[in-house]
Amino acid sequence: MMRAALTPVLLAMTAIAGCGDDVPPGTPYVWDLPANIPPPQVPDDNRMTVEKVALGRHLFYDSRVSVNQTYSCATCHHQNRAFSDGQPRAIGCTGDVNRHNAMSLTNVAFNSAYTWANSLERSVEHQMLLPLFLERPVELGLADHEQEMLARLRKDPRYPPMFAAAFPGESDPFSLKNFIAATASFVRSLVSVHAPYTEAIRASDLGESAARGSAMFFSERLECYHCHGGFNFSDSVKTSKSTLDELAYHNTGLYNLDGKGAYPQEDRGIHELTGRPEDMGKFRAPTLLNIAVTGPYFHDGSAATLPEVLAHYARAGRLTTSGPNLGDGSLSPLKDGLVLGFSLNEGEQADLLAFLDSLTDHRFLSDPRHANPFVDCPPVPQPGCPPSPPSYAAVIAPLIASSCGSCHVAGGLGSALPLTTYEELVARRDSIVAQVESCTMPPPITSAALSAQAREDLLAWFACGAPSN
Amino acid sequence: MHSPVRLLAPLLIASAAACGSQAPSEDTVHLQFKAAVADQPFSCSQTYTGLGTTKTSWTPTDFRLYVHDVRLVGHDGSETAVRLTDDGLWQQGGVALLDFEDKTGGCSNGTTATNDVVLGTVASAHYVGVRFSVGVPFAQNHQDVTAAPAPMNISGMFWDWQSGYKFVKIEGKSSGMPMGYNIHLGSTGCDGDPKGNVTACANPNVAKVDLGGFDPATSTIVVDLAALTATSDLDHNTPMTPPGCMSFAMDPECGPLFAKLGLSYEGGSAGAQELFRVK
Repeated sequence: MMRAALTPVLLAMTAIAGCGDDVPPGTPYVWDLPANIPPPQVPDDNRMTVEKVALGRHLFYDSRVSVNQTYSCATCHHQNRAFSDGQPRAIGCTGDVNRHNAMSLTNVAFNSAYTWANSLERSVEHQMLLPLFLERPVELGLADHEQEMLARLRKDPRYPPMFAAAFPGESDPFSLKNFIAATASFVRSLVSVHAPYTEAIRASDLGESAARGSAMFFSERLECYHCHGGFNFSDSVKTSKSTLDELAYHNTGLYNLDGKGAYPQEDRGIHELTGRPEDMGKFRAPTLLNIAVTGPYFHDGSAATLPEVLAHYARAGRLTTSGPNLGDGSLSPLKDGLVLGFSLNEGEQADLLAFLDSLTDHRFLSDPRHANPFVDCPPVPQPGCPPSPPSYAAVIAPLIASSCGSCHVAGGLGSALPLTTYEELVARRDSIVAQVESCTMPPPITSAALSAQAREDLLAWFACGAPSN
Repeated sequence: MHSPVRLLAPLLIASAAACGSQAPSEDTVHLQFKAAVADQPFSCSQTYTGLGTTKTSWTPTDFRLYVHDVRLVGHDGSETAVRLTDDGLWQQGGVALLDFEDKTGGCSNGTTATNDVVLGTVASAHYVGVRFSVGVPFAQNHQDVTAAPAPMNISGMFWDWQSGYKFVKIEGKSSGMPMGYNIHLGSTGCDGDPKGNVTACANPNVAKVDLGGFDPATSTIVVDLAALTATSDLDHNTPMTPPGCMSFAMDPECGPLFAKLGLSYEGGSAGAQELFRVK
């Protein structure tokens, strides 16, 4: 009897000792996933913990991370836009214009590869090296500067306990590897599974219009779902249950410069890496979850709105009638065989857009677990043009001068994007609106945040068409 | 400048495993490199003139490269490998970083420390030539850069888009390219597995250097930027391509530079390298 009574205790102890190597040092992270979506794969050497995600959230939003302390990851990945930035092409911290549209971070934990077109980028950890260290163009500009960055973080009393908790037992946890591990853990936690479509049990739950749009989306008439299928609306998805490597790249007929399918030299998709002629213009199909809030679209941000995107696919390729990209993408011999074209009447287009709207997870866009831990950034109330717009001369110009003027002038850190005249302000409208909405400029921590009134005035003025009043 | 003790007294390697056979005699070898622009020493604080086909000016912003597989050549043409000394700084696992920029002048994004020597040991003999490869061997080129030991942890040499290292990073501003003309050599056309491990590269772009008339005790290996760019137009860049040559396909600026590195570009024939010479 005695022996029998002891056995379970001994077994339990053995089990604890035996599993010791597999238990991450820290509090295991619990995924917020419905039963039909398996958890993502996580690298063996970077298991998710609550502590790493918490640290990573701070690092993601910390403007001291970039070489000139003006940019964080969040500067180009705004939560209210599903972690994209609203610009055709991202602009780096020194003013370099990227050739790519900043991708949404929605569900990137489930990606089988990263970026628009790089089959060697297979983990968030590896992908992060790109914004950190790329030099042409510069994004965060840390090449030869990462030790200075880590030294800055070390000086903030918030970080030593967070690094110690995330990487217990390390004598000096302030390493590049740990910086990346924690930030990657936070980025993996950006899981979006509460869109109306994802939560709907049957199509009719979406409402009639979106249900009709759904039927079209998944039809052989439109063929959308071949590339944008599955729970993540992408054909390059990986979960902990994946047994095969699912990774695909497609040429959708955006360009055809030479009649043989050539894309502009500055970005030819994975052809750039593989050199294989058949890879010209091939890019990865991104998730469509939250697609309504992540415009502009395509790898180069060349479609401003979803109706433009639909028009591209309806025509089976883009016709460019002037300029350096002259050519008819619909005639490209390299185009994917399922970009066949279709026609939509007005009602059908509205239905399809309603379906795409049902992929927007509003809870994700304001989830406090994903929000900026340094500044409170409530949505601006009553967006839109008020009856009497704020005066440019009396309100807007002084506000820009005092809040933006110390950097966005000749010789300042933001000299590549000067904001010293009315014309410059109007020209950068979309960027300013996006940055003000997401509270990413002026850079949090290193600059004073805009007041709620200032945010409201700026957004209202732009909503009124930026009058020179 | 260094005052190198080029060949130290032969070191007797005492080995318990030698089993009575005569222990081989080894010399410490100290290969001296020197960066130059034609007949002038390289400096980040100087602007040079007369470069390339347009005889343009050049204000340097970077000058670093990796070398490996260093061998000395005897009278009879036989090769003897130099075992590079792991120094925890510039050399590791047979790879050495030559770093000619010192973070002064235009090179403000670099590192203060410089290195112009390759240090190792080699079997005692009379040598008349040196051979080495420019770049990083495949086995080390695709490692986890965040866990790599020095000198593979220098983030200015990371080449993340290609999942490797820049083998050569020579950058400067010319009259016609005031925003910078970049010469980045590295492996391209790489394939990977689902874990992100690179499995092979169609274009390794590892340059082979073979220099005769070389005495390890007295010779210097000159790395000449002017010779590298002699047939390049440094004032011009083909629109929509990376500024300069970053080893990508379909970049007209790469052809003449690859030729001077002794490498084939886009199927063209590889000439003799001219970047390195013995002095």
